Amino acid sequence: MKNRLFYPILCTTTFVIGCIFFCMYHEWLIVFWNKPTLTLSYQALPTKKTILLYLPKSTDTTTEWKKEKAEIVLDDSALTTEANAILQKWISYAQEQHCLPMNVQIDSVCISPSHNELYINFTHNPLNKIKSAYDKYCLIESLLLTLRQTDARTCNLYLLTKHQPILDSHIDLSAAWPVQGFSP
Amino acid sequence: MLFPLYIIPQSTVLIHPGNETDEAVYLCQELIHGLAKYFHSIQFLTTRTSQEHPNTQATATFANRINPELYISIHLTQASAPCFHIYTYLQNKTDLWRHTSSSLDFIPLNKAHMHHAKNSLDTASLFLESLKTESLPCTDSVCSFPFKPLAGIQCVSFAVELGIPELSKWHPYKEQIHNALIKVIMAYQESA
Repeated sequence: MKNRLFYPILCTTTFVIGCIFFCMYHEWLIVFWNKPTLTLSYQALPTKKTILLYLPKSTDTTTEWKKEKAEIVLDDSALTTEANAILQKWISYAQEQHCLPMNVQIDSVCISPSHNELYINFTHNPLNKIKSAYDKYCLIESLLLTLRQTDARTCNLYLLTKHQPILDSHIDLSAAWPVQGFSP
Repeated sequence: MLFPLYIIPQSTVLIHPGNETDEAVYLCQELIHGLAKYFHSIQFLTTRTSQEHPNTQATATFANRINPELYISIHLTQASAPCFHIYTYLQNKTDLWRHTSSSLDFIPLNKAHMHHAKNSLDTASLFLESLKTESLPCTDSVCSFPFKPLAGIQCVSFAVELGIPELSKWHPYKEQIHNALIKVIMAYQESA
């Protein structure tokens, strides 16, 4: 009895297995050998942020600020990306208001590995030599005030031109300026 | 027979004309001339003449060697309307906290201001108030930040920047600056 059923079962089994492999070969049947998982690769969505851009008002005796709202779109949450986007807007606004010469641009923005120092490298010196120390100081304070809206508010800032500290007769930029600034 | 009598000055005030223009030198010379007549026991010195333009480090070295009681830096710049700005040197707001050091300590140039930062701010505030009483256009408060001409000065120091439309026309303000300086030096003498 056993011997009479053995061969038909073997034939049927091999025929079925052969059919399955034939279908798989011709891609009529697709088998997922690796079990698909539902893990998603995380990619942050671009975010829009409203910021205030500050510039000194043209009064000689009081420190007042002109403010303008601007929107920036951030691809990622890195501090340098955010700082770079804000600074680009600030430079455009300062150039519109004739506070900065048109050739001044941001070359690069870097942060130290400890996240304590932020380096801003300009293509040209943003400080006008013939302006008073007070005008230059107010311009830097307005930049710091604008940057304080980012996570860089606890950093120290180095302002550079062509990767060297900016040289000025009034303002000492050889050392880092606290982003918190000096204005009360 | 005449015996020369030398009065040894009790204290020294060093006045630094800003390097921007030689007009500042002439203003400082006039101020020193007036102040020397008023205070006989104080010697008034200047850091440069009209032909010299020493850099910040050379000026600081010279000032620290003289070790004056008070260092005043006077600057003239062009501005649309006349205005006075008063500065002291700070690298951080915490520099105003009391820092002690002995005379044998090595103090780097960028830390020299820390010993007298608070006194400098008080003296500068007093000078600002004195200018305001002379009804001169001034800023609301003293600006404290890394003001380069005061870098490396160890004694009590502050700077004055006079913005005027024409640099040569500082004469109308000389008298008021002179009066304000007298008030500051007198107050400083009383507190010392």
